[in-house]
Amino acid sequence: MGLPALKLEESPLVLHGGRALNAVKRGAYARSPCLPHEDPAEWDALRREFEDSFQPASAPERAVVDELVDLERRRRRVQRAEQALVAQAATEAWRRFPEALLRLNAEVNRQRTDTAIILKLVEIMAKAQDAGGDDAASARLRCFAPILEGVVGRPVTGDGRSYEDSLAQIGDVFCARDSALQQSQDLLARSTTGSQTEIEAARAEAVLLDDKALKRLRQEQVTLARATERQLRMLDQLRKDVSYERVVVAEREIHRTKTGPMNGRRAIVAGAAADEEDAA
Amino acid sequence: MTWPHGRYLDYLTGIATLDDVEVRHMLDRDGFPPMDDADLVRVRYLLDQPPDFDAFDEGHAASQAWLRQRGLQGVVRGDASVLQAFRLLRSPSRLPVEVLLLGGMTSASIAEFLARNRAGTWSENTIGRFASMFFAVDEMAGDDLIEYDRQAPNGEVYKELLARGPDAAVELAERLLQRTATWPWAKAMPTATP
Repeated sequence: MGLPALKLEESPLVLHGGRALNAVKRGAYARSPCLPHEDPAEWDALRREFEDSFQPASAPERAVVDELVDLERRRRRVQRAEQALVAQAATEAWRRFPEALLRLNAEVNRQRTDTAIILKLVEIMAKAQDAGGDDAASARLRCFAPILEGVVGRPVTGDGRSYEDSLAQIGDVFCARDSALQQSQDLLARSTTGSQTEIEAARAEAVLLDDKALKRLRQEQVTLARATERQLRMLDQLRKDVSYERVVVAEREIHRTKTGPMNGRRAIVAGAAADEEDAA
Repeated sequence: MTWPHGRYLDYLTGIATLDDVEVRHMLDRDGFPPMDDADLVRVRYLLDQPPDFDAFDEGHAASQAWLRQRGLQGVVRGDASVLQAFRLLRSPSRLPVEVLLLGGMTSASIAEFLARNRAGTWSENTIGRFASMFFAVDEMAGDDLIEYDRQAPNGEVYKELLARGPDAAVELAERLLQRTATWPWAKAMPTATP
């Protein structure tokens, strides 16, 4: 089970003027401003929001804000990939269920939508009645009659029926449907109570099938969070009138002391160098 | 892509203001192909309703102009032919009517054909409304029609008809009517009312 791939028809090679994007999976490392399936407007809005919020005053600050925008964009891509992965796992778990249970679930969903449609249209008619009386409500009823007839399953207008009669008839059907929905929901709940553990197990199993991908996504999230933290620290230093070179050198040292081998020794050397500079 | 039931979609999204789940539900109920998120976003985007749109406000000129342009005034008025067109859509005569429309027959000839074959007394007006609301194939580009045939539940029949030409439409419609006449539930379906 993998992550949703880019569609072949929307060939990245064609869309990006021959630049190969074939290896793009989640886009967490993609430096491209916009991947083929993304909306450029979303990224433009993001950039504007960041610029409005941070108000970069110099070229180095602007560079840092650009970097922050890029990191946020990559973070969102990873988040979407994770959501897709979990949704796919849930779907996979549902697929293992008995056909009858799935049909019951689909039926419950259908009934729920039926009642939601009736309720929505009746609310529109009630509002119209409050505002313009029976005539306004009747006009809406005549307009919505084809939909209501489809959902209710019988004619709701005509045969000399008044608006009140029609509404009463729709109300009766709504109550009957609502009660049927409750019963179906209870039945579904009873049917799945015993298998709740199975659902959880199947879902966990489906997730575990792609455990490697999930771990990788989490790792990417941590990396991006650290990089964002670093850029914010840099921006803070720049605003305290520390020179850009010095900020970059200091960040590099922090990075080395945190990640490189012989951490202690490097930290001491870096600390000593900083002390010397301060003294100078 | 355009859909032969574009006006029906405009009615559901623009006038009845149903959400995506409800629109999909109605499409499924009425035997239309399912639509994905992108298609629905496009339908809503193309609605392009005027500011303060109110379909029921006859004094709001922009709204009335929009309804006229989309051919939905009769729907908002609740014309009898609209209700009849919906009943035809949900009746066993729907597929033969679609076949005949695809074969290029006029509404009057189709009404006569249905009466001759005892498939209900659907008026010419009802069939015209049905065609404009649910099966406006003459307003579609060739590519869109082929794409629709690929997705539609009855697409195989349409494709067969496109391959065999209009002469086959009547023969196919007769065969379909003979078949639906034997369905026990077909007798219980609501057919035309005068």
